[in-house]
Amino acid sequence: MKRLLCLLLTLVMAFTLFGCSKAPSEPAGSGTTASTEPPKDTQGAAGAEEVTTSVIPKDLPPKKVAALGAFSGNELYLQWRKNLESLAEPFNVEFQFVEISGSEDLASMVESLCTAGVDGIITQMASESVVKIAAEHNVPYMVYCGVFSDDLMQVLAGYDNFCGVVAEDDIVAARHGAEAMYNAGCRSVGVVGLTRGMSDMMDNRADYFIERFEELGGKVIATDYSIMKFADSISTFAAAYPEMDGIWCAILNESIFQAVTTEGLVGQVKLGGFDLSDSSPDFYDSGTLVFSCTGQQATIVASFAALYNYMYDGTYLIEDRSVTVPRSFIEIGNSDDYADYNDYVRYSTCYSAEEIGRMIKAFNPEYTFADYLAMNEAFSIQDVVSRAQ
Amino acid sequence: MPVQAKSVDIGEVLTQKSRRKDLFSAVLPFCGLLLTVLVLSIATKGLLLSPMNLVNIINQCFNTAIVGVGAAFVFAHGGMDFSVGASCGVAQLACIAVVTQLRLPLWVGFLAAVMVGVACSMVVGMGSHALHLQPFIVSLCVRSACTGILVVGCNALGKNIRVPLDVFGIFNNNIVKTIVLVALVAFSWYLFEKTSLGKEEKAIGGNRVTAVQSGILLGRNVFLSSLILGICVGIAACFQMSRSGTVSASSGNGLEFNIMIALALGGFPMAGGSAARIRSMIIGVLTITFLTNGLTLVGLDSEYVSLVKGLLFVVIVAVSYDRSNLKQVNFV
Repeated sequence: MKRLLCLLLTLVMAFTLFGCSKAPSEPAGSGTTASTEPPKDTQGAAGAEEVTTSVIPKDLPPKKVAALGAFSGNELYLQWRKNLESLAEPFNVEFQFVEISGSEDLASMVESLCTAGVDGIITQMASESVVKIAAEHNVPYMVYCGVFSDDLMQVLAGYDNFCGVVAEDDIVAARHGAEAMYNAGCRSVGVVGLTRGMSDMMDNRADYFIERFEELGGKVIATDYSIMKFADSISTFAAAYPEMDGIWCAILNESIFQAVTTEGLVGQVKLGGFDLSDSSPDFYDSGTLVFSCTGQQATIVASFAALYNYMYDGTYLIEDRSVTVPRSFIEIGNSDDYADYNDYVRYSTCYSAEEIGRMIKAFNPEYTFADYLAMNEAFSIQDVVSRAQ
Repeated sequence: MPVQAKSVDIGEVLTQKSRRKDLFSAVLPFCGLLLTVLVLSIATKGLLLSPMNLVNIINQCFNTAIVGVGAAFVFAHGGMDFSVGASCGVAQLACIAVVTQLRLPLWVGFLAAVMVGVACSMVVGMGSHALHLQPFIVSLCVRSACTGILVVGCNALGKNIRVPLDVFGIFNNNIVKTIVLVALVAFSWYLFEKTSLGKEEKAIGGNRVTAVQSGILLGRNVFLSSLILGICVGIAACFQMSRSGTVSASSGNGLEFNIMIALALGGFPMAGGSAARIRSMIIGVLTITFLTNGLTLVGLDSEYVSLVKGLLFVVIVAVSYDRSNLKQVNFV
């Protein structure tokens, strides 16, 4: 009986599977995709823009792009997804979001996706063997928010299907954070981060903060790189280092704010780090939080522009693909900035489809790599707000 | 009328139940695999079984299958090794360090990987045997130590260490992979099913006390099973690093979970014993690989993949898992 029930359940599952599978994309020329109006959900930076004629042509050929990363369980990842999905209709692109957990997983996924016939891959990870798998299937490969050695970048640039890397500049942001903490009066700080070696980005966020803070004359009195045990680190610091007047965090998540509150450190220490949380505005108002940065949400769409250029007609938007295109973080210094972040970044999209369309050389031949570099460098909360207004 | 007691031949009842159980445990995991392949083939309109995708399947199941057949020897005697992922990562680190830093030939790097794999599984197997500790506890300790070695080693060698494909190309060759996979599985099957080693491992898993009283040398069997697992981990490490193209602190991560899932899906008894079969491991590995590959081919987004995978796991395990150790034999 139990086995019969199981069999029945399997059949239900099979039907569910069919139900979940996607309908084929609308064929080119159906006239239902590209339009002269921006999509309803792109009301971000250029959402207020009055568009009379769209740079994005009508009847773009349908494309399927696989976005690989960790897309569930974290607000930032959901925002990546939301930003990318805002481009689906205007560009006639169907996105498939695929969860990956490591480099071995990546190789298998890329292999399967290429077999399934995707037209492009956008991901956070890359290695020569994986780019080679995509190259064997003539599938363009673009990387967002990844940090790679110069040696590997040179090798990857040797593959025609490799479109480049766009990543936030953690080094610059970490140094700015050190300056903000020092200027706020911090002289003896503790640093918490992820386990060393797990992520170059996370290591840079700690290393370059420490380097700059010590250059300025401050002292790093304690470091703790226990993976995701930030609250424990803060408890330990509070007990062992009463002279501590600042804490720098590679990931400034809610547990940090809770730990600072429960340890009675509000008013005693200043906080700084990467990412934002719901408690961030209160901590800005109390003067405890002096620096945080965000804005990675938009990197995926900036990378999409480079990918789409190559997918559309084989044009490389990034001229030197052996060098990572740096992107600025949005640096938040007070609760007003945070309010703007909420309005224009968190609950919106940072670039409209129209703005991304202008980055496609086939649609806008005057657009240059220099413009692309400048756009990435200019990214800030003021930039997002001014474009939206 | 006088009521006559019905005579019951207990031996016959037990034999019938045993035959039925053997049939179920042999057939049901196959059914789970076939069902998975059938459903996904229809959903992918045949793409799942296309020649190109079958090559993908070999590539994607390779490492889990190689380590899985080694792990079968350990699980057969009731052992466990939760450190295979981390030790696989350290084996990769040893191999890349020997080849790229010490500039020694590839075969030396391969030997280094195998030696690291063997050393780690020996510490788990022989350590738990000699100290009379649960293998799970010892393997957790080894896992933690290996993770530390991997992080420190990768930091020392440049964090994400690039694997030069021109040097390691042989490990990416599909023909080589197929030959190695078939040869290893065939050899393991022979050892497991046809020699005294496999039979003794299963006897220990069935009843350790009886096995020892029958003259089976526990230490010798634990040693040999750990040796086989270690060799398999070392071999898998070399193939895995050239496939992923990088060695990092997360290398090998999750391999032990894949092995456990394959065990469950294939109907391999977790406590070992006479029902342990190499084919169960292979079926389990194929089921999980087809499932992951097929759901990606269908075009499902990640949240649906996790949901469908979770539900299908429950169904397949419910259909195929051997519960004979969990319930009493009912004679009536």
